[in-house]
Amino acid sequence: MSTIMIIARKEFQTAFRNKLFVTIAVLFILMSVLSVYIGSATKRAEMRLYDETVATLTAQGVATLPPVPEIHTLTILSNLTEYVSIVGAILAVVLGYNALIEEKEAGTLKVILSRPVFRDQLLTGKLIGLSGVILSLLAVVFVFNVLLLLLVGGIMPTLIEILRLLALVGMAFVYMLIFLTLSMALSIRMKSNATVFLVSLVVWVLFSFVIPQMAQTQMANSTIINSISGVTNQIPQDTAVSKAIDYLSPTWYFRTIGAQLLEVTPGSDTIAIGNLFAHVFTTLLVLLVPSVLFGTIGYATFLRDETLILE
Amino acid sequence: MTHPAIQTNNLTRRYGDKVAVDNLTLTVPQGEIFGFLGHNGAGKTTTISMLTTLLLPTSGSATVYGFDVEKENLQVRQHIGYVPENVRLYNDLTVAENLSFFAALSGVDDISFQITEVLDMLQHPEWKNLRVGDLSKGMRQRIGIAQGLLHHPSVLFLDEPASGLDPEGTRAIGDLIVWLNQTFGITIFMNTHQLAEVTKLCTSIGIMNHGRLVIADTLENVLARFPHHASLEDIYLEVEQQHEEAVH
Repeated sequence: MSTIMIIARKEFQTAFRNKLFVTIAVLFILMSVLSVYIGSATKRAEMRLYDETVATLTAQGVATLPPVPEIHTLTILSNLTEYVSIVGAILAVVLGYNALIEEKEAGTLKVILSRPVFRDQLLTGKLIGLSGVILSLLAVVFVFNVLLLLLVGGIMPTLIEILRLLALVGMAFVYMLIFLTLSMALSIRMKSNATVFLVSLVVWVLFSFVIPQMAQTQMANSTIINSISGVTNQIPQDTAVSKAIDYLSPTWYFRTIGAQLLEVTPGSDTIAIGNLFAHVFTTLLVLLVPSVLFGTIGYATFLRDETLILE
Repeated sequence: MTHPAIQTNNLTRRYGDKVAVDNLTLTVPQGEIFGFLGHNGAGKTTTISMLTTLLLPTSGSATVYGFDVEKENLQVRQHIGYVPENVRLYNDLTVAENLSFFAALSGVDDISFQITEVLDMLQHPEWKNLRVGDLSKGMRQRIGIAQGLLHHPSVLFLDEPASGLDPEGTRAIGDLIVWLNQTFGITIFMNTHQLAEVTKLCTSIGIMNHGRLVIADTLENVLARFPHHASLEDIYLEVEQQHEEAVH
C-alpha cells in the first residue's frame, strides 16, 4: 500500500472514532430520515385530501373534478439540500479543523515526517482519507433516502430520479469539500484548534447566510413603483448586482442546483436531462474553485514553512 | 569503514536573526548512549530536528550513519527512530493500530510480527489491544519508543524521554534504553534535563549553551576533568557559568 493510502486509511479509521464527528454524523442521517418521513407524510395527506374532495364532489354529482395533484417524487427529499448546506458543512469543518493541529500536539507529525514520508504525501493522504469519510457518509444518506422513499413513501424512484439524486450527492460532496479544505488549510497555519473551528464557522456563516441575505436585501430594494400606473418594476442593474452577490456564495450555488435536481424549482422537472446535467457540470466546476484555492494555500504553506511542524 | 553514528560539522540553524544552533561540530561513535544537555532554548531540540531531517540546516553539514541529512534524507530516515518529547500518539486507536500505522509508514514487511516483537521487548504484550487514550503517561512514552523501534533503526533519537514521568516510569524508560543499547547495539542520542539519569545511563555527553556546544566527551572524561565536583549537576552548572562569563 502506498504511503498516501496508509495515511488515508488511518484518517478514515480515526474519524469514525471521533465522538463529536460520530454524533453530528448520526444527527445528519437522522435528520435526513426524518425529512423523508415528513415529506412522505405531507404528500400522503395531500393525496388523502384530494381523494376526500373527489369523493365529496362525486357524491354531490359534480361532473368536473379537480385535476390530480402533481406530486414529484424528489420534492419529498427537498430538505436534504438544506441539511447538507448546514449540517454537512459543519461536519466537514469538524473533520478538518483538527487535521494538523492534533498531530502537532500529539507529537505524531514529527514522528510521521521522520519516516520516509514527504509533506505533500501527508497532506494528500489526509485529504483523501477525510474525503472518503464524507463520501461514505453521503453514500449512507443516499441509500437511506432511496430506501425510505420505497418503504415510507411507497414510491419506486425512476432511473432518472435516481440519477438526479446521485448528482445531488456528488454536488454535496464537492460542497462539503470546500469546508474540509478550508479548515485543513487553517489547521496548518493556526496554533489553536478552537480558533480554526471559529474562523471556519465564520466563513460558513458568511457563505451560507450573510452573502445570500445581502443579495436578497439588494433584490428587495431594487424595485420601483410607477406612481402613475401603479406597476412595480424591477431595476435591471440592481438585479444584476443582486445576482453578482449571490455568485459569491457557494451555498447559493449548491441550494440552486439542489432545488433543480430535486424538482423543487418550478419547471425543473421538465428540463431536458442533457441540459440539466450540463448545468450540474458547470456548477460543479464553480464549486471546485474554493476547494482548489484553499487546498493550494494549504499545500503551499505546509511545503514552504518547515518550522510549522516544530510549533 | 565504520561511520560515526552522528557527525556534524559547523552545523548552524538560524530562525530569522536568532541563532538557535551555532557552528555545532560533534561526533557520536556507534553504540554510544549520548546525553545532550542544556537549559531550555539551548538548541537541543533544533539539533535533533536537523539530525532527524525535520529541519534543514542554515549552514554546515551533518551525517547520520554516513548519510547526509540534507542530500540523503530518505536514507537517514531509514536508519533512525525518533521519539519526540511528550509523544501521545493517536488516543482513539489501540496500541496495535498505532504501531501498525507507523510500521506501514516505515515500510516494515511483517507488521504483525514486528508489533509482537516490540511489545515483547517492552515486556508488555498484553498492551496490544488497549486504547492509547486509556494508557498512563509512562505507558504511552514506552509505546512511543516502541514505534521508533519497529523498523530496527541504528540510531534512536529521544527528546526528553523521561519528561513528566514518575520515578517508576523514569526507571522503566532508563532500563529500556540501556537494554536496547546493550542488546541490539542501537546508538541512543537523547536530549534530557535529568542529570541523575544521564549519570546512570549515558556513556558520553554534550552540553549546549545558547546554541553553542560547550563540552562534549565521554562521561568518564568529563567527570575526570572536574575532580573537585561531587556530581554531574555541579559540573553542568560550572560549565554553563564559565560559558556565560566567556560570552558576556
